[in-house]
Amino acid sequence: MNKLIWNEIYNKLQTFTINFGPQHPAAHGVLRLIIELDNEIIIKVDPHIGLLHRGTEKLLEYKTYLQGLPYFDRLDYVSMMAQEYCFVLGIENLLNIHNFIPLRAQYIRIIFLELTRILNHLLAITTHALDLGAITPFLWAFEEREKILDFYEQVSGARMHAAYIRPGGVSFDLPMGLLDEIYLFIKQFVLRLNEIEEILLLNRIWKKRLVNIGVIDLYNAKNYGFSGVLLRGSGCKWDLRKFYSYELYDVLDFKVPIGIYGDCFDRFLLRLEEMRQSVLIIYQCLNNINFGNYKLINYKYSMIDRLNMKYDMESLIHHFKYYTDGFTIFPGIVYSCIEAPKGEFGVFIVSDNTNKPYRCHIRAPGFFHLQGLNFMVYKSLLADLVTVIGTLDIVFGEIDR
Amino acid sequence: MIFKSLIFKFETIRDCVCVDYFYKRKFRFNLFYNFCSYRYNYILFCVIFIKIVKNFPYSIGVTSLLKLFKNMNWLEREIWDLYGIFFINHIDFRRILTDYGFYGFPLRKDFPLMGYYEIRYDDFDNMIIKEKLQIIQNYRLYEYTNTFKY
Repeated sequence: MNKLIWNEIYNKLQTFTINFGPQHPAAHGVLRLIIELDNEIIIKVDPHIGLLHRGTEKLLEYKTYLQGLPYFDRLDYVSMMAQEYCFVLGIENLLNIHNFIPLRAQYIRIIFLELTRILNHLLAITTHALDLGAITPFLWAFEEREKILDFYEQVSGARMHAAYIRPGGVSFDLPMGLLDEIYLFIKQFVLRLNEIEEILLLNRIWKKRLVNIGVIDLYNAKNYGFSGVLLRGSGCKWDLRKFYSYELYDVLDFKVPIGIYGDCFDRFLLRLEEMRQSVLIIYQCLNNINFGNYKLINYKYSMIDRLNMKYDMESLIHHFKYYTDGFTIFPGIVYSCIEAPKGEFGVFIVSDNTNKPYRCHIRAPGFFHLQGLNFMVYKSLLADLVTVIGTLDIVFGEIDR
Repeated sequence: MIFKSLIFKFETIRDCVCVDYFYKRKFRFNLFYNFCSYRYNYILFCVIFIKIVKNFPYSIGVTSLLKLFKNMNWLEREIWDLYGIFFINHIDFRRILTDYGFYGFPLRKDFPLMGYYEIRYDDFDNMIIKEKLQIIQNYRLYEYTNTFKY
């Protein structure tokens, strides 16, 4: 018999296919995998996504720019403010007002962007640990997450879907004493971080499950379009905060950690280190933040104070026009990208001369990361699949859009 | 291969976006490719203009970039799913974001916001049924074209 045909038959006998269903707790949401197994070794993984598809891009074409903003909180529901900031950055670039944002607004934005990064990484590390059987760090980290969500609530009124960052600044000024509270939180947070590190870093089970699992080499990491921790873990020094600096990140002093081996353990260490760097950035912002306006004075693009509205006809008109008609943007195309906690989050906006985006494409980092799942788990055990899904840090709100 | 040569060194493609200019332009679809070079730290936007064939729902085929960049696999599947643009030499051409057995290309401008079908669970028959959407009032769209400059 021909050797090729024999191999084909042999393979058919050897492998079998199982379904890793959409409701599996280790799938971090609604991920469906069709896995081809040779005994316990994975030959092929075929991810089926789109079970949470809500048509955000289509909906954004029918909403004004301001109405479309809260949709971005709902994309990646563990790093909310980073996404709405990206959309706002695109709008500001289209309106050409990104150079006129007040300094205080920029500091407030950076503080909350970095708090969001901590929020995301705490969840990423500890749910990863939870998948592998360590429940303690999960409980500790959620206590810290609760405090950060409290800051969200104090500043915007909503615990998760804040819609706080608006075109031209932020929606409200910081309440009294919030910066002190953030300082106290940061001060004790480093100790909590040490505790989480202590319990995981030298843990034998944790190391056995993570070291040399899900290795990504540099070529594949680049070719698959990975970004964020997954690219940096493979040894490419690439951080949009440094190289395409937005806001005040070029003034602030922070380091970009990179990995060597590109395995899951490296990425775990990077996430820890990034949280420490975020703490440093917040420290600098707390020291440098000044008094002043928290949004643009041009009331064509930013909302007017309600108090003025009661006394001033002009303000009333501005208020009415801003919340009903919105603002129109000249025809233009912009691609704005930020270093979201998960990776490069980009928004591609095409505006025609109306108050709605003609087309708004969302570049989700998780979409690209999940694509690489097939080569990352090739010829590894089924139990390692859970580790790799955990380290990818996927959230289905943003992948399915 | 010229993209990957030492002069350009485009190691990755960051994004691939399609825009549907319905009747406003001669070429209906614009495909934006966003190439990126990590070594030289710059990005390049490439635009491909695609015409639609008359009386035929699909567009003219575009050559797939799957051989150069592996992440074009899902990006091209997404564009096929949402816009119905066909890619030649693609190995795995299925829908990705929409439901199994979805009808139509949802991000085209002539696709209604409400869609064509609705899916619901029927208590009487104990099964999921798919039926044509019936809405009493159509979605009302107000055009706010700017007539003056600020």
